[in-house]
Amino acid sequence: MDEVFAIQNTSLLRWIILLPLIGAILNGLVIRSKNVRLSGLVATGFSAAAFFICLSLVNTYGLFAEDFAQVIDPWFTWFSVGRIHVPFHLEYTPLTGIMLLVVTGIGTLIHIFATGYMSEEKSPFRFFSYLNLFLAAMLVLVLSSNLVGIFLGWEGVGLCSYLLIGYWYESNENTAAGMKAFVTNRIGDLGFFVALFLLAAHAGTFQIQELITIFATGAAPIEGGIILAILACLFWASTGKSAQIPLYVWLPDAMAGPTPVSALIHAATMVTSGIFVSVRLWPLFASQPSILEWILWVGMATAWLAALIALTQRDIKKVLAYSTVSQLGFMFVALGVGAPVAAFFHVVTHAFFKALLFLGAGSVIHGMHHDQDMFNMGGLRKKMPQTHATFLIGTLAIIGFPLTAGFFSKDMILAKAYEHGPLAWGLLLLAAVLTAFYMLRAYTMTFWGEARTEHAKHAHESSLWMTIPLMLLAAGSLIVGFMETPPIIFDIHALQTAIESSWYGVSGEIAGHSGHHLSHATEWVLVLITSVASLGVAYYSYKKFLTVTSKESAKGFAAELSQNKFYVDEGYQLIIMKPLSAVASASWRFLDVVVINGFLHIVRDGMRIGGQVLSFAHTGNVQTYAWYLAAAVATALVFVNWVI
Amino acid sequence: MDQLQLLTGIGIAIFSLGVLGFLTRRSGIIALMCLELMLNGVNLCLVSFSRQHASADGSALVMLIILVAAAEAALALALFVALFRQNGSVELDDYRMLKG
Repeated sequence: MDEVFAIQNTSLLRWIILLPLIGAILNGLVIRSKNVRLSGLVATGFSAAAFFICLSLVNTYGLFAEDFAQVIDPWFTWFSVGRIHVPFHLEYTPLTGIMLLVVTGIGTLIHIFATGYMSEEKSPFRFFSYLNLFLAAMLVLVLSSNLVGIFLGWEGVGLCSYLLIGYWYESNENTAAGMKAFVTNRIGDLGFFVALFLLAAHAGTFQIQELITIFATGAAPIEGGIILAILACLFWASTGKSAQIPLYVWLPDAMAGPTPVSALIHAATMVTSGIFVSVRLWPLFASQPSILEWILWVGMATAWLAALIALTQRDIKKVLAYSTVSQLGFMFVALGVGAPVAAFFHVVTHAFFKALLFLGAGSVIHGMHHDQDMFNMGGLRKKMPQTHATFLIGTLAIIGFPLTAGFFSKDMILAKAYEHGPLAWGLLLLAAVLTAFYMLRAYTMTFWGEARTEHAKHAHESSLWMTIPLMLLAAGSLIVGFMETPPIIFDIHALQTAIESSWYGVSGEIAGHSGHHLSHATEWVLVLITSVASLGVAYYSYKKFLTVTSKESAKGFAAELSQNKFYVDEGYQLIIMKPLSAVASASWRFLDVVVINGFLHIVRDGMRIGGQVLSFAHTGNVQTYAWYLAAAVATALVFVNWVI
Repeated sequence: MDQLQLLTGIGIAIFSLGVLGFLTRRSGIIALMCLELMLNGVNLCLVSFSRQHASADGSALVMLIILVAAAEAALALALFVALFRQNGSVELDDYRMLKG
């Protein structure tokens, strides 16, 4: 492949990472203020500065142009050992540009929201320091030009996720959730490690550009089996970070953290890293179709499982958490059917409306004095009008109400799924219908009906700090969909152009596939079926939950399975944790207590007895010592005269 | 046996008696006397060696030994006086403080 792209060097990119990092250090180590507004504004300032740099980058280098100039910041060489050379270079492509705007833009809005939400916090500097640190790590992940740098960001966001989930560490439940998130992520990161080792052994490079241009096109000899293994390992890592089966279990528990954290990390940015990296490396995935089937069905299973659990949850944040897991499943389904543009499109739209929904939930929780049980809410639309309006927009977006952002991205995924096969399409459609049901359930129980408790009766709207980001995110949820629309509605393909020009001139076509395109009639039918089904179920759900009373929750075997999360956590306890801790306990009781302690006891007793025996020679009597002297001299004399 | 061998033999005998006495006597002062005996035995041997090798070195050393022995005897007796004042006894068996 010829070098078609002009490469431009700039040292601007590093400031996108450095500014939040400086903010984190200032807030956490220097200023250490107990004033929420001060720490919040410092953190927001640095986050906004990073956002403006991203804006200027987009302005200078463009985002949706076909002939894109590659922009690189050759910062420094990280390490170079033998034939392994790892530079720490940053890279700007249209794909990373869009991700940067999403991360810094929504990140800044969430910083503003948090400045209002955390108003009763005692040492807010810690919170805002961690928040900025997270942003810096996420930006390392987005901007790195090689997989080792991405891994650094990957681990960094995992760390910050742990720090922020367990932020209110006085409670054991929170710290346990933080640990669970970190350990589960770590198990996934093992996959990333193995992938890096395989790359080091067989490819000799970690640079994404080289991996795509050399290995995806088959220009260099590398066994297909190795690439498949690497991709499988990367997907395993994604199941950890992007909460798919089997490693999704940390995400619902992560709701123990403050709501801005849930919005930023567990909805908009960190959890989409797996999909982002997969789209970045897409030509490699496209060259190995067998893994795509696997990704498709794991994503589908996750989408279904999470949706089923979300149906009966009482806590509003848990509904949104399982909804996130489910929507991430949708994105992996899109990858699996060979539609990376659809997957990333959903990443962007989901970032907007899920952050909106989470922040809205945060506003509701704030108004309800931290009661999160939806059965205790009701009628809040009169008390909290802006929160209600924006939450409604978010709900409409997630169920795919026509012309919202979610409508365009979800329908694109469904259309691509239909191209793959009717089974995948049908199952995904049903999952979308479930989404409509549980979201309207949550919305109706919270905002409609009669207020069911005192907190609900006396709730009031939140401050501007919280409502303004809500409104901006709502606007985003309505507008961003128009970057990629189907042929039957406006036919805009800006996002597709952007992503396809981010693969260094390599095509994203799947090996051995010829993309069949749908006729316009088929597309209309699909859109109509989806809309009618989703909206119909949504209306049914609305009517059903309008008249719910307090404490009433669903009964029956299926409902119990769903309420108890299908006992997955209990299953893991039984199958993995208990045997492991039994092995650990047994090995402690034998190896530690018997073997090591036994050996040490023998040494100790030996020393003691030896000392006791030798002490018989110390009589304290001078004449005894004189005897020793005489004996020694006599022996020496004999030795010298007759032996030597 | 000629004269010098006899002299050396007597010196060794005196030395050995001194050793035996030092190792076995109960009283500290008697042990001191045996210590002096050992020194004198050595002196006699040295004189004999000096005569054997027709050199004055041995005799010079003897003069030094006599000098040092005198000083050391004075010192040791002073120590015993102090010890007796402290503990009321000069028997060596009574001084076992370094046992163990």
